[in-house]
Amino acid sequence: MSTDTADAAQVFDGRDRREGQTGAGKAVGATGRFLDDRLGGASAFRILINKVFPDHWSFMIGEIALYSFIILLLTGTYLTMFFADSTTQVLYHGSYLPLQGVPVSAAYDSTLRISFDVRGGLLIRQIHHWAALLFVAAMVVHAARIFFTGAYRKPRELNWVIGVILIMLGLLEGFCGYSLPDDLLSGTGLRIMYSVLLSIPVAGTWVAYLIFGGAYPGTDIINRLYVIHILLVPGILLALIGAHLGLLFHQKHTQFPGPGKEETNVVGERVFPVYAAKAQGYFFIVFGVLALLGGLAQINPVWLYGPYNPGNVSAGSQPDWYIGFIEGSVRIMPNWEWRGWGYDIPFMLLIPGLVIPGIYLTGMLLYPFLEQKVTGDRAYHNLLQRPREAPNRTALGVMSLVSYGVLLLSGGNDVLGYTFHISLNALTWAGRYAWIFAPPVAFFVTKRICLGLLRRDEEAASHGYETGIVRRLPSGEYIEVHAPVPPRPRPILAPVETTTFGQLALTSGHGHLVPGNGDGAASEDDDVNGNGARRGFFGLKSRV
Amino acid sequence: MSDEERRPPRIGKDVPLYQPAGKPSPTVEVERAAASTPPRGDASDSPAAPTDPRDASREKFVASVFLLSAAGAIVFVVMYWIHTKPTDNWINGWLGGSLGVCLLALGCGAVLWAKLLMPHEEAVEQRHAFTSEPVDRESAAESFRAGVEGSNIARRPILRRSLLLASGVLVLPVAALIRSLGPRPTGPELAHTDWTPGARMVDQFNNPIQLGDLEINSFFTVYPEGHTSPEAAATSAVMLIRLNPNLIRPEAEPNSYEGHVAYSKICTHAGCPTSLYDQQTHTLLCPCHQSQFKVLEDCKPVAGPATRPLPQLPLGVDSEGYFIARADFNQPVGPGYWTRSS
Repeated sequence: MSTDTADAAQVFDGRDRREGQTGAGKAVGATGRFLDDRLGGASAFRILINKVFPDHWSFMIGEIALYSFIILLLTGTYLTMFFADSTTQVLYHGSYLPLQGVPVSAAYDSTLRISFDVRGGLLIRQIHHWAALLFVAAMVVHAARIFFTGAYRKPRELNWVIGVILIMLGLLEGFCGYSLPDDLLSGTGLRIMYSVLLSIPVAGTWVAYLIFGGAYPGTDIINRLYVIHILLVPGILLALIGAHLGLLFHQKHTQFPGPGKEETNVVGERVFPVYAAKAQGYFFIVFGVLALLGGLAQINPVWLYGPYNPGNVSAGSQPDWYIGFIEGSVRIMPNWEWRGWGYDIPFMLLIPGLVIPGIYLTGMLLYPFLEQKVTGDRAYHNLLQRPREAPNRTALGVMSLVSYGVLLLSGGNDVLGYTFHISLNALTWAGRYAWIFAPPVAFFVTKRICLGLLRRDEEAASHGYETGIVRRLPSGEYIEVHAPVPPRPRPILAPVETTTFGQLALTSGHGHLVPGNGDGAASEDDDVNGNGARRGFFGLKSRV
Repeated sequence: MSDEERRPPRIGKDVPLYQPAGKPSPTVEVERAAASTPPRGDASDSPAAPTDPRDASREKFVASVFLLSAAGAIVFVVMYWIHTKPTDNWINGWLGGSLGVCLLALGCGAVLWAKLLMPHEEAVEQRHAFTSEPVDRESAAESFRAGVEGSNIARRPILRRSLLLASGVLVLPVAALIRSLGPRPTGPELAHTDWTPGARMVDQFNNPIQLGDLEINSFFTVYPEGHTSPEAAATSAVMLIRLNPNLIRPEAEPNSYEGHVAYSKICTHAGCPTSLYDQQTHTLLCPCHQSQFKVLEDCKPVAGPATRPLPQLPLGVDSEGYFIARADFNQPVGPGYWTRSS
C-alpha cells in the first residue's frame, strides 16, 4: 500500500491506512498522523531528517560548544535550587570545619552548602565549572576552524558575526558566573573589573557606580551578576545559538572540496539515522568527560580561598582561562597615566583592560568584511579552503593567535616565574617585547610555510610525487622517477535532490556525480591562488 | 535483530513518501552507478543486501557498552545511598566517576552503533541560491516604497519631526531608571576613607594594635576601629609596618611613630591589596599585577603597572598605647579615575 492511492476522502475520514503494519512502525505512523493532522509538519520533517551533512572531524568542535552549553543549562538550573544571591553576612555553620563560625556572605555560605551539604552538589558544581571552561574553549577553537578554512566567506558572514558575539557573551557569562561564590579569588577579579570601569575617561565613576550600585563592593553586585548570569545572558545566548544553527541549516554546511563535492552541492550523510545517532552519542561523550572531570579533578575550591575580604588577597590569583588574556595585557602594560588639566586617565588600566580586548574582538567581528574589501572577492563560497591555500589569511590568523597567546601566558607570568625560577620582571619585559615582535615573525614564518606547501602540491600535481626510485638512463644520466598522484577513489553517491521548496525527491539506489574532476587531477578552475593542486585531502570517505 | 530489520529502507519501495526522481537535477548531472558489489550495509536495490558476518559480534559489543552505561548508573545510585554525608572522603570521586562512565558509555555506544551497524551512504543534496528572483526583489521594494508613500512620512515634515522627537525623548525615562541603579559618584567614598583623626587601628577581628605588638620588619593589616566590613576594608585597609627607625627617610618621619609606618594597602593600580612584603628589600608587592612599591622611599612604585605611590597614613599612639590615625589620607586611595586630581 502506498500513499499514491491516498486521497482527500481518506485523509478526512481518519481511517487507519496502515492496518498491515505492526509494532514500532505502527506507533510511529500513528504519532506521525496525529501530529501531521494537526500541525502538518510531515513535509518539513522529511526535509529535516533527509538533510545532508558533510563529515569531517573538525566540524564537531562547534558541536562540543553546543553540548557544553546544554550541560551548563542543566547543571546551572540545579545549582539555582541552592544558591543564595546575597552578600548579607552570616556566620558559617556548615559541614566544613575550618570555617566554622567565620562571618561570610550568604552567597559564599550557600556555595559551601552546595559543596559540602548537598549530596551530589559538589559534583554538579564542578561539572558546571568545567563545562564553562570547555564551552568557551570549544567556541574559540571552532572559530579558529571557521577562520582557517575560510568558512566565514559569503554567504556566511552574518553567522560569523553571531558566532563572535556568542564568544563575547560567553566571556561575560563566565566572568559573572565565577564571581558569584563571593570568595577571595572572585572578589579580587571583581575589584579589578571595578577599577577598569573607573578608568574610563569622564564617565568612569558613573559607570562603576551604576553597575555596582555605589562604591565597591556594595551590597548589590552579587545579586545583579546573578540575574545577568542566569537570565539575561543565557537568554540571549539561547536565542543567538538558535539563530546560529538556523542559519547553518538554511545555508547548508560547507564542505571540503573533493571528488563529487562542488560549490553547488552537499555530499555527506543524511541526518537520520547515522548523523542523529552520532550527535546524540557525542553529547553524552562530552557530558561523560565533564562528569569525570567534575568527579575527579577539583576546580575552584572556594573553601580553600576563603570568603572575600577586600583587605586580603592570595598570591597566584588567576582568573578562569578565557579572562586570562585580559589579565595578561594588564600585567605587561607599562605604567602610563595621563595627569593634566585637573583630570586623570589611567591608561595603564584603560588600554589593556578595555581597549585591547575591544580591538581583538572588534577585529574578529569585522574580519569577513575587511577581507572582502581587500580581496574584492564577492563570490559565494561553499567549498572550504585548506589553510595553505590562503597564505595571507592563515598568516594573519596565526599572527593573531600568537599575539593572543602572549597575553594569555603573561596572565600567568607569576606562576611561570615561580615554576621555572625565572625573574618576574624579566617575564614582564619578555611579554612586552613578545607582544610586539612575535606576531610579525609568526606572520612571516606562516606565510612562507603556506607558500612552500603550495609549491610542493603544485610540483606533485604537475610532475607527480617522488618515488624514491633512482634510474640510470642509457645516456648515463641518473634521474629520480616521479609517479603521477594516484586518482582518489570516487565516492558512491546517493543523490538527494531538493527540487523546489518542500518537494523532496530521492533517487533510489546508487548514483554518482560526474563533475569532471573526480579523478583527482587538478583542474584550472580549482582555486583563486592559481594553484591547481586542491584535491580534497580532507573529509573524503573512501571505502573501496 | 534480524537482517531484514537492519536493512535500510529501500527508497522508493519501502518508503513510499519518496518518489523516485524522474529527472536529474538541473545543475548536476546524475549518473546511475554500475551495480557492482555495494559496500557493506549500504542502501541497495537488491533485496538480498549482503551483510557482514561480523555484525553479530559487533551487536554484542555495542550492547555490552550500553550495559556498562547502565552499570555506571547503578553504581552512582549505590554510592549516593551509601555515602549519606556529602563530606565523606571520595564521595565526589565515586559519584563523578560512575556518572562519567555511565554517560561516556552511553555516548560511545550510540556512536559505535552508528559506525559499526548502521548503513552508511554518500548522499548528495543540491544547494539553493539564496538570492530572490529579480522580479521578487523589485516587487518587495515597490511594496515597501508604496507603503512609505502611503504613510505620507516624506510629505509631512511636522509629523515626521514630532515622531522623531517623541522617539528620542523616550530615552529619558529609560535613563532615569538606569540612574536609580547607583548613587551619584561624588560621594565621600571616592576621596575619603573611614580613617578619622584618633581612630584606633584594629585587626580583622577588631583587636586593637598596641605599640610593641610588632617585631621589626613585620607588618599587620589594620582597619579603623568599627569599620571592618567589606565596604570599609575596600578603601581603608592599611599596612602597618615596623622598620628599623634609622631607615626611615626624613620626609616620612613626621607621619611615622617610633619606626612604625602606615601605608594604604589598596594598590594604586587596580585596587588589589598589596599584601606581599619583602623584608629584605622593604618592597611591597601586589600579587594581582606585580606592581612593586619601595617602603623606604615613600612607597613609590618601582616596577609593574602602578604609577602612583601608596598614600601614607599619619600615625600616632593614643594615651593607652594603642596605634591611631592622626588624620585621613591626604589623597584618594586606590586606583585612578577621571576626577581624582580635581
